[in-house]
Parts: sequence; structure tokens; C-alpha cells
Amino acid sequence: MDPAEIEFIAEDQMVEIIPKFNHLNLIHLISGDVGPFRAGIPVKVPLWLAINLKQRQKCRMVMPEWMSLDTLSQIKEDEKGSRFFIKMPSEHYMEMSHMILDVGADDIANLDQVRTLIKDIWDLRISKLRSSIDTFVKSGGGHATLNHLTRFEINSIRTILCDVLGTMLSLKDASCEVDVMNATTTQSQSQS
Amino acid sequence: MFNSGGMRSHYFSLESILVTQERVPCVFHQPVKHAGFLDSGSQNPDLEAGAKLDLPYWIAKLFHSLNSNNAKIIEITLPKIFKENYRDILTADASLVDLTKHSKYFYKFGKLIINIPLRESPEIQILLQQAFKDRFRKIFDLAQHLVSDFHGNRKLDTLELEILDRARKCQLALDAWLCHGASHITTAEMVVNHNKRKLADIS
Repeated sequence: MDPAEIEFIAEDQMVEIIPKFNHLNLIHLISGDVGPFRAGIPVKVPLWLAINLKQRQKCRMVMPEWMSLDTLSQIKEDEKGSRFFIKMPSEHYMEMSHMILDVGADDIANLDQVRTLIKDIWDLRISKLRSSIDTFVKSGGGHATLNHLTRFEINSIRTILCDVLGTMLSLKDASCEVDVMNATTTQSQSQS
Repeated sequence: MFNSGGMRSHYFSLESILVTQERVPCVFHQPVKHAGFLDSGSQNPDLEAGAKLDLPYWIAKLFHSLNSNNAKIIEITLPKIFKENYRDILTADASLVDLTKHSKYFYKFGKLIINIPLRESPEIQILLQQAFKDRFRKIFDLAQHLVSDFHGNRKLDTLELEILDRARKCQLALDAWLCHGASHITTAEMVVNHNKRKLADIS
């Protein structure tokens, strides 16, 4: 999967905005109704709509609760202290923070600190993930349980892990051939 | 296009054809008529018993499957890279060995050798798995750190290069996503061109 596709999925998360305009009718969307918008009254909308409104200067963004300095530093400490992965406040923390920090930069206090904290948490989790994959493959790669990984993190190692496990299986099993590219050819055929 | 049908590569897979071109050392136990052309060193139209030749895998396998007067025509010996002393090196630390030295297709060729089958087949099979496991960390690291130059990868087998290539593409996409939006702080051109700064960078 491309990171952009996961970003697209993450755009369905609800966030709070403070509109700068009045629009008293509901907007009917497939995922549910949005509105009514009253200037100055917070309202929950999908992230994609929030970004769109923000880009047109029609609203102010309210940061999700977990994007505060206190919560993030707490998560970072927990993540550092634990051998396992911590449950993140949002399944899409990386994508959401990336988009919100990008578009809503002027609504956020401590922008740089928040960004650094998120990056730190991401780095911690990725290095944890890498070392656990290494032990997993070294130990023979039977099965493993990893809780609380987010979709974006899983995606970052999907290709190599699938390729390596597939190759290991084909080396173990005398009857199947060693070929990485086969997986791709069948995939592209089913897509076309 | 050709249907690859699950795990099997298709009939015209160029790579599979190239792998079967890899040579295996063989000893002829029986004379073979009109096969003298296989030995480019001799003028004799027939191959004598006792001739030692390096034959491509596909023809060696063919001879191996044939019997004449209930005796084997040829005996296949292990290629150098799968011989015992080489196996010991690979068991010691596979991640340092240059796999491409003898064959560009270490794993695929190994699989073919196992299928002959020889006395050492089970041992080689375990060796292939172990070597791949040991070398995995190297591929993993190379894939994640894009800054490291590609020229250091000459030691990788074709199969490993394929995995590395796909993983790198993935990592590139991820890095591009992480960078997009966030503005990067770069050194001003004037500062870069300034001689003093350059010297400071070097030391």
C-alpha cells in the first residue's frame, strides 16, 4: 500500500473545528450528517472536510485531545519504558498529526514541540518494530503476536516482511520454487 | 501474459532458464557415443568413460536420470560453493560471504541441486535456510537506510537484490510521504559556497 492510501483512510477520522461561517442546514454525506455550522461553535467533521475548510480560511482547527504536549510526553515515556507497544490514542496518530500539523499550523501552540514528540514516538516504535522483526526472523519465523501496531507502521514493513517470509517458506519446502517476483505478477494480474 | 500459477515461475521465466545454465562438475562412468563435442578439449567424437566435465545443470540432470546396463552414466559432484569447506564458511558467518562469486543465483541454484537429489541434499537445504536467515539483517538494514551507497551490495545474490529493491521502493515512498509538507531547513547556498564553512565540514 502506498502511504497516500493510508492517509486517505485516515481522513475519515472525526476532528473538531470552530467554523467562521453560518450554515444551518445539515450536509448529508455517506458517512453521516455533518453540521449545522454556527460561527464560533465547535462542531465535529471528518478530517478531509476540516482540511478543506481550513485551507479556505473558513474555520479554525481544534487539536485532538491526545495531541497535547502532556499526553504526548506521557506516551513517549510509556513507550520508552515498555518492552511492548503502547496502545496509541488514535489508530491513525501518524497520518492525522502529519496532516493537522501541516495544514493547521497557525492554530497550534507549541507546534515544533508537538512535531518533535510525534517524531520521537514514531522513531521509538519503528526501532522497536525493527528489532522485534529481526528476532522473529532469526528465530525461524513461526508466528508472533504484536498488539497495538497502527496501520501505517505495519505498512512500513509489509513488503520486506512478506517477501522474506515467502522466500523462507520456499527454501523450506522442497516442492515450491524460490521466486520473489511471482507474488507481484499475480497481484498485478488480479488488479488489471 | 503468462500465468505464473501460484508459487511456480512460468515456463519462459528467463531467470529460471539462466539458473539451469549454471555448471555442475560431472564424472562420466560410461562412454557416450557422439557426445565428444561436450568436451571442447578433445578431438574424439565420443566421450570416454572417466571424463570429467563441467556441464550445465539441465544436461547433467538429463544424463543423471538415464541408465545404461543398470549403471549410472554420470555421477554429479557438488559445485564448489556447496562443497563441505564452503558450507563451513557459510555456517560460520553467512552475512560476510560474497555469494555472487561463484553463482549469481545462490538460492535458486541451491534449490535445483537439492532436487537432483544428492547425498548432501538435506544438509544443503538447511544451509540455504540458515544462510538466508543470517543475511536477512543486512538486507533489512540496507533497505531502511537509503543513504548508504548501492555499490556495497555486490555481495548480494539476485534473489536478495530483488527483495532489497522492492523494500527500498517502499521505503522511498514512505520517506517521501514523511517529508512532504514539512519544510526542510537547508543551508543557504551562499553559506555552502563559502570556503570557511567547507573546511569546517571536513574537519
